[in-house]
Amino acid sequence: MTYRKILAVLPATLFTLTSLAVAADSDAINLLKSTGALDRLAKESGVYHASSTGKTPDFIVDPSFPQRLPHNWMIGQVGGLYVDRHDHIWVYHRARSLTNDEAGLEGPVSGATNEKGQPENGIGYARQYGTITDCCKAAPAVLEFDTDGKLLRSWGGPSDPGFIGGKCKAEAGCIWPNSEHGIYVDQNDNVWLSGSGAYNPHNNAPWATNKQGGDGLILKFDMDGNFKMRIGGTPKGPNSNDTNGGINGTPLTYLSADMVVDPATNRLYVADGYGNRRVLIIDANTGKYIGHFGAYGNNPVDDAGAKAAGTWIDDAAKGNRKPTFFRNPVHCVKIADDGKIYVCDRGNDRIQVFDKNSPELGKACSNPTGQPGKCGFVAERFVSDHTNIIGTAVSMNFSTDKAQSCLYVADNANMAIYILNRSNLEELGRFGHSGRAPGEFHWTHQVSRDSKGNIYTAEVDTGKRIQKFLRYGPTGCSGTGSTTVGGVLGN
Amino acid sequence: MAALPAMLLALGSLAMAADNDANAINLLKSTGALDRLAKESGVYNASSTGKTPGFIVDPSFPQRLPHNWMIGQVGGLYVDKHDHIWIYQRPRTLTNDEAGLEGPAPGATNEKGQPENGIGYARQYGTITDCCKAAPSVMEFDVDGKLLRAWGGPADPGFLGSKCKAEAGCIWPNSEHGIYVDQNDNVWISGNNGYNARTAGKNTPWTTNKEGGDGFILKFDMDGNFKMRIGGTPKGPNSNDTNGGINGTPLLYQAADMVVDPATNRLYVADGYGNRRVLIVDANTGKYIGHFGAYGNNPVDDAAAKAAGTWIDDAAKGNKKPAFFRNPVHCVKIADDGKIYVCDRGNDRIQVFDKNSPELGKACSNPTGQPGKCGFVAERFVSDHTNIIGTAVSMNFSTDKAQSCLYIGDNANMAIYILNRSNLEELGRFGHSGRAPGEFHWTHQVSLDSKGNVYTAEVDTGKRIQKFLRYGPTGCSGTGSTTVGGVIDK
Repeated sequence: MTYRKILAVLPATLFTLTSLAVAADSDAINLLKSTGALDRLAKESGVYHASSTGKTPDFIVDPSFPQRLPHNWMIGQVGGLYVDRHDHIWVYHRARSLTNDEAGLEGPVSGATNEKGQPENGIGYARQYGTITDCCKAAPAVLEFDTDGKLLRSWGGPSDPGFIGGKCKAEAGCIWPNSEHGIYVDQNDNVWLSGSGAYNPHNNAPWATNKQGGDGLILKFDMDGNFKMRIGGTPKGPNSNDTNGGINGTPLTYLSADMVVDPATNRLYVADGYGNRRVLIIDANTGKYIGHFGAYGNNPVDDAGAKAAGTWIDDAAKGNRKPTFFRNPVHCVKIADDGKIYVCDRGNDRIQVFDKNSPELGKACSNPTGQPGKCGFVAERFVSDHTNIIGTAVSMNFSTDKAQSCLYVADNANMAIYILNRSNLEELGRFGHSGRAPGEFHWTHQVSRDSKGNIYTAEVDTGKRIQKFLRYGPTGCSGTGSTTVGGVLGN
Repeated sequence: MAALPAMLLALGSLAMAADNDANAINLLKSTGALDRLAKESGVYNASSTGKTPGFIVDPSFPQRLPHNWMIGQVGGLYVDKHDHIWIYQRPRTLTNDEAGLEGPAPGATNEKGQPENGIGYARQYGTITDCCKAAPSVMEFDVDGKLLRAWGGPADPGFLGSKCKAEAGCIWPNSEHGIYVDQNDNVWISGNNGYNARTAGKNTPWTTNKEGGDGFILKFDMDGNFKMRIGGTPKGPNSNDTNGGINGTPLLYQAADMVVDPATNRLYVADGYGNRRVLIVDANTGKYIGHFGAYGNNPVDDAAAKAAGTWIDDAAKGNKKPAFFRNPVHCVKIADDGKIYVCDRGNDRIQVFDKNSPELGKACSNPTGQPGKCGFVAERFVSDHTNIIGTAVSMNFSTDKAQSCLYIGDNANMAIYILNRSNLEELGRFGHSGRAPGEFHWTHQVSLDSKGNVYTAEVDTGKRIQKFLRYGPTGCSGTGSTTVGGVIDK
């Protein structure tokens, strides 16, 4: 066949291929419509327990999000998720949480053996005969998606060959954490990462990255994964009042969970965390300490007193229902345009609100009774406060209307996202239920949204997925609801 | 009359709800989500010389359960002749937080003296989260995913001791595994828990079989009324037992799956996680008719099979045609043409037998696996390099008259292979490893309704059922790959 003849045949072939594929897809989609599946999906994944005196956006889960990853990659627990100003979704997952079978294509690491002397893969699973299943390999730790769920960039962590020692060099100060937790992308397109792996001297798997101590650090990268700065170090225990124990005189964090940069001041606020019990304020350029605060704005933080008090449920049963300290983990921090700072005091089944413009906030200050207006403290709201497992509020974000009138609060114990009117902190409705179906959650861990108000979520434990909820109806929240947030519903 | 405006207003808000749903669905279309869903959940690795049905996952299936119920690992799933989907799930696999609404069992305490719930989780302060309660073990759904009936197991209050009475012979298994509904609407269920001397006696309030291993099959009507038990509670395997159970029925050991041949009313049992045989019993009396191992061998040499170790170790030594099933013998299905399909999961293969062979199930020796001998017909390895528990877990046929497709669920590689049943060649696959709709984590069952829609069930931390809508051809034709399974560059 001559070149010319091939060219002549090509358009017809392409046409056939295209029309075949399109016909099949439309058959499939028509089936979804005619069987009523889409109506049921809208009902099942939409807002429920809606207040009759309030209004909220509504949602339907996008069951196609994200698109399948290339290279037989798979994600583990998704510690962090944040939508940046370009409407790109950044995911920060835990390659080392993949199970033996999930990481079946991760073969033996050259020269590595387990306690029995067998070859092992990066996570530490035996690989005597090489790979064990037909899928999958661990994806790099940081993944960037567009709103259609298409993967744009990926880098980072031990599952990205050559990254450690390449873009992340120990001699430059880069230590990859043992457990990937929070991610944030700031107004200058810096990517901030935290780690929540406690010190574990027995962690000798080939993919152990921090062998020195606990994850007491935050890392700053550019969007291509080039290391820019580290804050903190690798302590072996908490100190919620440290100001300069880390690299270059930066403060030591301990198992920090989340962070946000205030674009007006370029200050970094850190939810610190699973080990420490504070919000830490840092200069985002230098990494140097600016201030910190505990519950009700208290500074210094009484780590010993907090530890001695035990769990929220035990303590509350004794009548101590207004703890003056954050309980681990201090799990999220976000700043609204009006200057209010929202903190997940997950271990206490509550959120607290602070005023970033208060001159007292972050400085030495005493507010043992939780008086509003003192030490920068504004308000608190319990979230399903009878919950007796790790804690409830894990992540917060705001609606996209100018007033940011909705406050979305994700609950990692009760598997729902509460929609609060931000002006009165009343629950106007919820979406999400406990389960594995699309629109349900197992260990909801993050909630973020794009500029259209679509919501993205991430799950840990055995959830190991990200989901997208398309918004329709109002862009914001109004009206009144319930001052009790969370709780059992009959269904 | 005065109430009318208010009613109209109420209707108006109903119409608004419909509008909202339409908005939601339009969003799914306009964003291209549905096109992507079709692509992501459809058939791939398709043979260019073969044809198969096409599929798209139904992301709305099943509908949300009432009563804050949640399902655990789904051991069994089968679609009956009424197009109802029967599932058989494990409430005792719910985690502490998943069963957050399961409060303390009356009078029960754990080793620390704290109140505990049925599964054994501490409940010092009552319930711990706002969801969920464990659903009953057996659940019947319609094709739209609506729950029709639910009964059985320790999570169904009052079931044990009433519909399932010990004095009538009913012992609920400790681990729910296979379910089958026969031509007479009998519901058959199996259990796969093994006896463990080390943990024996360490019971939770929901431990149901305190005597030994799950060595039995139960027969119920569709409302959960107990009809018959076959077998008992042995403490170890015996793949040649014929009458050691209740009423002279054979003892099983951790049976995985079963099917009744409507032509003969014989029950065929994939037996199982402990035994290494397919057992044939009379479905009315429960009495022994016959049994066979790999290649139709009978008796089964349990000792030799145990000594041979794992498939991968043994295969590495060159033993690539084992003359025994390796645990678990995980599925059994019968095609209309009389062929019996068995999942020899532990050997990464399936085997085919002829139900009409007079030799099948009787004493017979076929150590080299000769087709035509002892009722043996053929075998096909399924991703035979897989080094984890085994691959083929469940099989079913397409709905065309010839049952020309053979669907094989693979619990290690998280796919369903579509084979041309006439040549056992792979024509394509669907499903991938993962947690998204249309993906699988530990695919455990595959079954079909009369339209050819496929339903699946997942164990381990998968804990869900899914539906795949069929479109295009109803059957399979053509040639594909004689190698079934394997890595695909994606």
